[in-house]
Amino acid sequence: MSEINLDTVKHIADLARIELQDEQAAEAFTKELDKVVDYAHLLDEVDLSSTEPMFHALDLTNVLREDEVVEPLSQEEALSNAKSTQDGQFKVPKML
Amino acid sequence: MHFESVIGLEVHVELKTDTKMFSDAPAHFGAGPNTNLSVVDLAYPGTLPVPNKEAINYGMKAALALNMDIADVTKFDRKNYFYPDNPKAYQISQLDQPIGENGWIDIEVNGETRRIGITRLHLEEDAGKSTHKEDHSLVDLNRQGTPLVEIVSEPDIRTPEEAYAYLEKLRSIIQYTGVSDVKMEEGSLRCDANISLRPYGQEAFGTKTELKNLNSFNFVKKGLEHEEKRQEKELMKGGPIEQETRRFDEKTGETLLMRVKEGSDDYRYFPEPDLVQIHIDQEWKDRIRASIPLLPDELKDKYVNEYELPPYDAHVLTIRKETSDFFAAMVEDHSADVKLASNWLMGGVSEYLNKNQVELSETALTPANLSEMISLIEDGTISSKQAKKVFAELVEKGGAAKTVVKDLGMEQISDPQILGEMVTEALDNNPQSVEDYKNGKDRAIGFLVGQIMKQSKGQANPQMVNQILNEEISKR
Repeated sequence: MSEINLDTVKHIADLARIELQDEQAAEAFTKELDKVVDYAHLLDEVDLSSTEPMFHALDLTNVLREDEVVEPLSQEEALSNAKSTQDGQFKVPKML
Repeated sequence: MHFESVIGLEVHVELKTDTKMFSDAPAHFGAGPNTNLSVVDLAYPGTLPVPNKEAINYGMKAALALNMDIADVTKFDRKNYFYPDNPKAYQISQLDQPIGENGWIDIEVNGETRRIGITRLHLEEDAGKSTHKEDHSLVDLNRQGTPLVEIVSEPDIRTPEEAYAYLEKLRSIIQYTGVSDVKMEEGSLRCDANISLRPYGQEAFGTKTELKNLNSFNFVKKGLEHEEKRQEKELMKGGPIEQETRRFDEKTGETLLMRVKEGSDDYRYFPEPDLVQIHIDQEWKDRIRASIPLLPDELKDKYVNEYELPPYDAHVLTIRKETSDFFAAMVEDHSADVKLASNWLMGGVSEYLNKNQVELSETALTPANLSEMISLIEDGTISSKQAKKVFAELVEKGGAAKTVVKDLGMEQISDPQILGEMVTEALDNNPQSVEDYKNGKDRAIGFLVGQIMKQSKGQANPQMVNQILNEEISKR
């Protein structure tokens, strides 16, 4: 069927910020992903014309929380896993 | 203009709940950076979001106030993108089942009413704030997870003035519902604008550009005005309009290219697997509808029909809920004269608020003391000129109007005995004037009244002074 081509793989990798080593890797992924998608097409054989789409595996609705504040983390705790900080903030490579 | 503008606005409004959209951390401005956070906001592995019921109530309340249909079933979706102010690398938003759809508001421009459609209102979470330095950026995640509603208008707006009127009306309605502070300067209301041009009579839309960095209603209007001209010039040259995002420059009033959009953004939306659907039954909808107070248009009608205020006054008084509540309290609870109350609120009060950049609640004015001051003008205790001084005291220091009038020594003296003494004194001190009067010079009376007024620092009741003086002088 080949729904997945090289360009799709490169585009998806780019969106997901995954670096593909070389053209060979991209080609390998193209083949594999195409197989996966092909396999998923097995589902097309099931007649779902009268079935409501399901949005969640759990049969639950309205799982909500009251608007009550719980003591937040301290600044120190909040930043404790940051690689780099400055003035109580996360320091990251330059954006823009 | 050779073309008609087609404008649509996207407005983000921060909801003023106590906690965040999906975590129980406080949703207010923190004392310091990164002090309003929970492990959910920081996207720690294994944490799960739980929607804030009040945020859903607020979103529904806003949607109902904007005449929208509320979904029976609503759900959340993931919008994926990478940016350091977004720790999860996705935003929880709503794609195809927003909480509200098909709304409208009426706006008035140049005396003409137009109905602007509102496509949708959906719930989502805000991102953190980044500050860009020379060689790095700093991120404060306090705002991460703050509940937002995004309100998308239909492309029904035709002029920058209409865009301004739409925003003003939208802000007014949301402010009345109490679900947000809707302050653009504090970022609790933000606006992006889409604009395209088309020849008059043409049905199809032209290519649109998106304007960002519009930090006041006025900048929205100016940005659109500039963009209209830029696109027209481009079209007249025969060049195509590129689909691009442009930034409004506050200094020059121009729009500058930020980035060209190639195809639509690829956010790879999918239903949020960490959250289940929300079913909204009729009882829930009715309960929220019942909590909506009278909205500006309804109050405006009431003020015109019941209080017989001019439509202009009614419009100005109902733009902000605070002003309208204040006015209603003056008239209903303190029997203030309707037109005088309106004149003071639109005049002296509004002038003071603008000059000092404060809100009514930040002054010492109350419906009681302003109404009392007005009644003191009406019964002649103080003149309009004196009222200005009384007002200046009331607005700064507060207290009862009568006390202020007394403290400023402004009260008129109407006690016949005190006035009698003043008259006697004036007659005794000015025998020449008494002589002149006897010789038929009526003007002498005026001189004597003047002396008494001067003596009493303008507080003597002039009519009574005249009367007593005439009686006394004839006895001499």
